[in-house]
Amino acid sequence: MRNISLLIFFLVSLLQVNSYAQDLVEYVPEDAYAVVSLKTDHIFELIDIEEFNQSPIGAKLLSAFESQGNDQYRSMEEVGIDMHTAMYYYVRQTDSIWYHTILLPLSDVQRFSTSLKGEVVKSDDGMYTLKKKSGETEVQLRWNARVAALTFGFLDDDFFDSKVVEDRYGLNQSTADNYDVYAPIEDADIAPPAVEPLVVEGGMPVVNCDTLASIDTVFVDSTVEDAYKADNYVDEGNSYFSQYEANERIKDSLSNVWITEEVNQVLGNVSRRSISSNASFVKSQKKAAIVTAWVKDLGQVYDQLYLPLLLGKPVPSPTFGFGTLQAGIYVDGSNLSMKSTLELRGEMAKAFSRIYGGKMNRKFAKYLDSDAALAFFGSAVDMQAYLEELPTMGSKLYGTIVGDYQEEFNLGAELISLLVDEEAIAKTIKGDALFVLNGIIQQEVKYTDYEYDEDYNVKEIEKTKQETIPDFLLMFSSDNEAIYKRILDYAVHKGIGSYEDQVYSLSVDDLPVALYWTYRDGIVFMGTGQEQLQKIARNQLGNGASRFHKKLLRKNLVAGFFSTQRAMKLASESELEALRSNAKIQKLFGGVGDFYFKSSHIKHNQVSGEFVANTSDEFSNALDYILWMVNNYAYAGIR
Amino acid sequence: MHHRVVRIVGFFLIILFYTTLSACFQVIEDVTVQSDGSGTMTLTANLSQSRTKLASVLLLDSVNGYKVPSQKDIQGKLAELANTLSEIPGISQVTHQVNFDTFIAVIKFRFEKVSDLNTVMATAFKELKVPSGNSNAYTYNPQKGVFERDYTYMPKAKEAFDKLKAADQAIFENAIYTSIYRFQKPVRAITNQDAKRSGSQKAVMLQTPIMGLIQGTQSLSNQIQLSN
Repeated sequence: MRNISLLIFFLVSLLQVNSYAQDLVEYVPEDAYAVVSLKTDHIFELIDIEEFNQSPIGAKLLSAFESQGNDQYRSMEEVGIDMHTAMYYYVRQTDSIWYHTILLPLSDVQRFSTSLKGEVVKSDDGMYTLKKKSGETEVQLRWNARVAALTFGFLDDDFFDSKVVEDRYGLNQSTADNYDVYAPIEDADIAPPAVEPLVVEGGMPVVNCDTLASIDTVFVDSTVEDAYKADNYVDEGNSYFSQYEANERIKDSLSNVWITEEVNQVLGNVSRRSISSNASFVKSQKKAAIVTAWVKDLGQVYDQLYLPLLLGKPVPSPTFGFGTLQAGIYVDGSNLSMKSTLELRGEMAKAFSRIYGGKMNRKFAKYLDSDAALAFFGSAVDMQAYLEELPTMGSKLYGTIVGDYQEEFNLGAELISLLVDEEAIAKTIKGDALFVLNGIIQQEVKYTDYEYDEDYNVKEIEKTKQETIPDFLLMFSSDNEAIYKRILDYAVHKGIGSYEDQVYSLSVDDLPVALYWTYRDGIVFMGTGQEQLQKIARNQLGNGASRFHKKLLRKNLVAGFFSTQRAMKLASESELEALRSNAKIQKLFGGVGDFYFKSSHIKHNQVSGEFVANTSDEFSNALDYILWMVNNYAYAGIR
Repeated sequence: MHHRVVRIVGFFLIILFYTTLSACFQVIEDVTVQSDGSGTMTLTANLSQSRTKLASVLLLDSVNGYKVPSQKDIQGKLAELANTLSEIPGISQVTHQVNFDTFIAVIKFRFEKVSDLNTVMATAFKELKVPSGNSNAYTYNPQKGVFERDYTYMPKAKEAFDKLKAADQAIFENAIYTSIYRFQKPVRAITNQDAKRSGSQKAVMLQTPIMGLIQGTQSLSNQIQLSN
């Protein structure tokens, strides 16, 4: 018996190894920077492959392939692509280039090879290659019987900003980068002008004005375009334009050589360690997901791509303490969800853990009417921790940005911290809040119109009309209600507010609607619905939050909810109906249910978030609905 | 805190108001002409019906892709216009006011002769960067006792209108242009069938939907013959 169990275990393990070996993940190198996998195997369990092939998206994909006969391809299988094995896209970075590679699983190499537009070269080792130009750079496709790798790349310009690199590749960027060096372009018909600097004793040489004029003339005569077109322009190395062109050519050819090397390595015989040896990546490959994404270091993306773009210079040290990002898209019946986990590192991890260590006030749920709310958004920040961590975080985040003033910035941040009484502020605004959008309410507004007597003398008259205003309620916790009372009493005293039935009404000049305030249970309430605020003040509460909403608020640090159907209903009942795009919205989202998102506490230096959209029950699953929606509206156009 | 709240409220209001079609405004041109051809003109823009919407718009920096001017900008622009008008020969006693509670703006001035109004209109259009049509819109012949308002339809206006987003076009839907011309003598005849004469017969009023002017289906043109 024991032997049979062992045998079964052995067989199952073998099957697992075998199925894993089928997966193209082995071709993704260990040093990949970001990997996205499209779990086509799982996707086509959820939607019918025939339906997909016949859909406009399928047709669009198939049109990229060239049929040998007159008939168009009818399915991806006919093209030789295996639609039941996951596809991968990954990015690999070196000091000089970012490689992008797409891995496609093949089911029939012959079919695949004949379906491509362009010249396919077959080498002795059984490899096929196809090169295509995309702008100045090449896209290379290389494949064997099992997998096709499509590789392209983008050079990192910073790499070439070095004398050693320039010399190595024969670049001359000093001239090309200097826009002021408009030296004359030599041409058989145009003699180079004699530019003789006048030497002023003890000073800098200056150029004679007449000579300058002659340079201009020569330059204009030859024109920039001619300079580009001249057959021998590469020889005229001292011209900005030709030098720039020459540099670009060198860079393009380097890029092409490197891309060839990269694509050869992907399918080469030399074994590379695969990303499947990276525990974090393996963890991100959830079986139930239809798409997964993994980024090795999100902080690096921010520091190396975003910040330099924003600041126009490289950032010397890491700013955000972001680490690995794992994300996945899942389909569970009619629910479509995206789950992600972000790793936090170093001081930032500690700071975030403290800041997001609070909880939302449990009493908020009493004031959220789940039967009526259109949307809500709640979050909990520990205000005291936030204020205490602010100087450290600020100097970490902005210190590198302000660069030369980092010392002053840090000093300023510490001084502010000395002046601010974190505890007192945190008592007044604890840091947790819930915003509820209940819909719209009618409000009577006055306006000025005219009346004319029989001699057309104009008389101003006041009229009223009904207008809709958003009905929202904001609540936040406070242990210092007295201060709000003092502020609001002051406003009443100054004549910009009134107090009735425990509710303050505040009309500020630049605000078109009145805001109502009240407080109860250690919560400050502010909203546009006077009646609702009065009910809160009198403790005449509505139905309260549903169990699901209560859980959403209680278990998370950030949570939000949006009821599409309630919004749709409101749209058709209100003046929004007149909106032309309303019809489109009704069509697109008519079948969509509720949306919600949540993010829980930071655990083991990881913050997780989830976004869920509930789609129509009329379809077999959420993906089926999305395919229908895309086919019907995105491609056919919304009419 | 206050500023943020104001912005949040403003944002929500805009989302709602920009989708409602109840927006409306009226423009009133009130001209009193003495027998010698001098007189006063009062131009009123009343956006009071859209005041909640405008008040919300003013809370934001930009809306629907347009930059929102501040109250100060609007006041400055109007003062600048008044100043430019007062420099026109024949134009005097220029006054202006704008009320950001009711959203009514008024500009008023005296003119020496009716033809001065043509310079005023040309200047105003230029200031507002709007192409003007007829350069001889207002004429008055004291001898014959004929006051003439000549309106030329500008297809450019329709072109510009057609380019607007549906939400912006809706603003014009119920807008009204009212012109009132008052005289010392009774009016004997008018050519515009849509215009009405007052009980005393000394004033003529024409109320035109602005959409009609944009589409070219209605005209402000009117020849008013006064009694001798």
